[in-house]
Amino acid sequence: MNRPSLFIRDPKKTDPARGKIALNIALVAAVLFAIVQFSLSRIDHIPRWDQIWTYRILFFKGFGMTIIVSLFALILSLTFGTLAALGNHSKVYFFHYLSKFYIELIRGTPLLVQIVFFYYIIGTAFQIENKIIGGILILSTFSGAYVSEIIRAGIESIENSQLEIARALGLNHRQIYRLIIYPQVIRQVLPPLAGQFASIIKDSSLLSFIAVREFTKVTFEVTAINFATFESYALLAVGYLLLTLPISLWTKRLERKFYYES
Amino acid sequence: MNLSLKHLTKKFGEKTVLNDVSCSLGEIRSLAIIGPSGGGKSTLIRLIAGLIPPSSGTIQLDKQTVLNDEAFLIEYRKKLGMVFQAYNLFPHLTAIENVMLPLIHVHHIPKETARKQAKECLQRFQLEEHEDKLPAHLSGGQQQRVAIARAIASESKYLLFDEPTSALDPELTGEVLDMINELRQEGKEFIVVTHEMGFAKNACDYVVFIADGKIIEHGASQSLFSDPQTTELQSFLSRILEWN
Repeated sequence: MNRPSLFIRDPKKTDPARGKIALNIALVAAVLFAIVQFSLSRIDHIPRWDQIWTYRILFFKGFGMTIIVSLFALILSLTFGTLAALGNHSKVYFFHYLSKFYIELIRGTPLLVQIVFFYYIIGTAFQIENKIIGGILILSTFSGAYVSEIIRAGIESIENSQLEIARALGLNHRQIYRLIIYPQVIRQVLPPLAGQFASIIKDSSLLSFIAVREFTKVTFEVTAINFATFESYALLAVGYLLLTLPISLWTKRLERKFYYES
Repeated sequence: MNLSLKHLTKKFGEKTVLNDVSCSLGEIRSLAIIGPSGGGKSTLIRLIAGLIPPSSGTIQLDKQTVLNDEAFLIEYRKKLGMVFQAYNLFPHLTAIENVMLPLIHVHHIPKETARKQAKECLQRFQLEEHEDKLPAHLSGGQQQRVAIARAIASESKYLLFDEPTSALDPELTGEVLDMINELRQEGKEFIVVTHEMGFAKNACDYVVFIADGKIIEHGASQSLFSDPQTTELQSFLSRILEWN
């Protein structure tokens, strides 16, 4: 017999009424707002929101750059990740160890270290002058290692027995990939990939370190001029949330959908 | 069917699972393979199905030698309908899509015709109300019956069952065995690896008893069960029938 817990919600129980949900959300928002207001009053800060408006074009350009860099990094990291996952499964030991090294080195070191290393040492040596391209390459190399692990888990989630059944039915090798493995891997990896995209968006802020003028870098620049630090960083946070929250909600929906289907 | 095994050996690494098995069975309609776990039953039926290559020796089904050649084997497997212990259905496809998949992609039947055939087949086995369900929403017995229906829809010449009920509880076991028996009465020929001795005795013409990688005894099912010749089979039967 399971006794109902005092604190842990029973996931099987139906959702509470809408009014109750709204009230609680409002309550949480009020508490957060109060904390911020209290902090501001302690440091005698009077918000100067007009400063945001003054520098709106700069902010807007930075926001756009973050989106562009993240989108390209997502596409490239899918390519890197797929190659690394295939390499990991390769019969050729060179490719196997190449992707192993890649995945472990990238996942075991901070992104900031990689950015500096790749940009200032490898980028200079190979004369990658364009910071944006360099930044996208670094970000996708970083994210690709995580993507490859997502794809690997997706492939390994398909049980061997399914491949045997597919063979017993008379499907050939190509058909097994196209009809059985591929559609299932896609379902399996879509939710974590969406989550990875949200990570890319946040991680792209570190490209400010090599002076890619994305959202965070622009905010540094603006605050250096007008000292409206609180206002600018509040905007920065809201800007990132605008991008990551919808992805996060979408991911949860995908997870639920595929959970019920399998 | 005619089944002939000549000096059939299968090793997995160092382990010999089937050891120089020979036997020739002619004009058999329903064959049960019985024996203790790990004795080589599943390996034998996988060899017959052309899913794994023998280490040495040959298999002949209806005078045709099973060649270790992928192009030959793909054609060969099309003639056989194999049903495993569990998880026979692809989890991302509904029941009817599971039945349609081999019709469309292996037998090259146009999609609409395939849908019609699949529907008829599911109806025949009282499965039509489940046709749009994903395997996760079917009971184990229903999953197995859809898998058998898929083999029937593909008009497989012979059916091969590898312990089709061992993952099911007794009630569901009955519904699956009933279906196989129904097919037998219609003249469908099959080979079944099974632990259900009652089924082997009453629904199969012929029985092969395998233990320790060898065929210890084989014969018509009624006589084999009522009058086992070898001590191995005698002790196996007494152990298995102890609680029946």
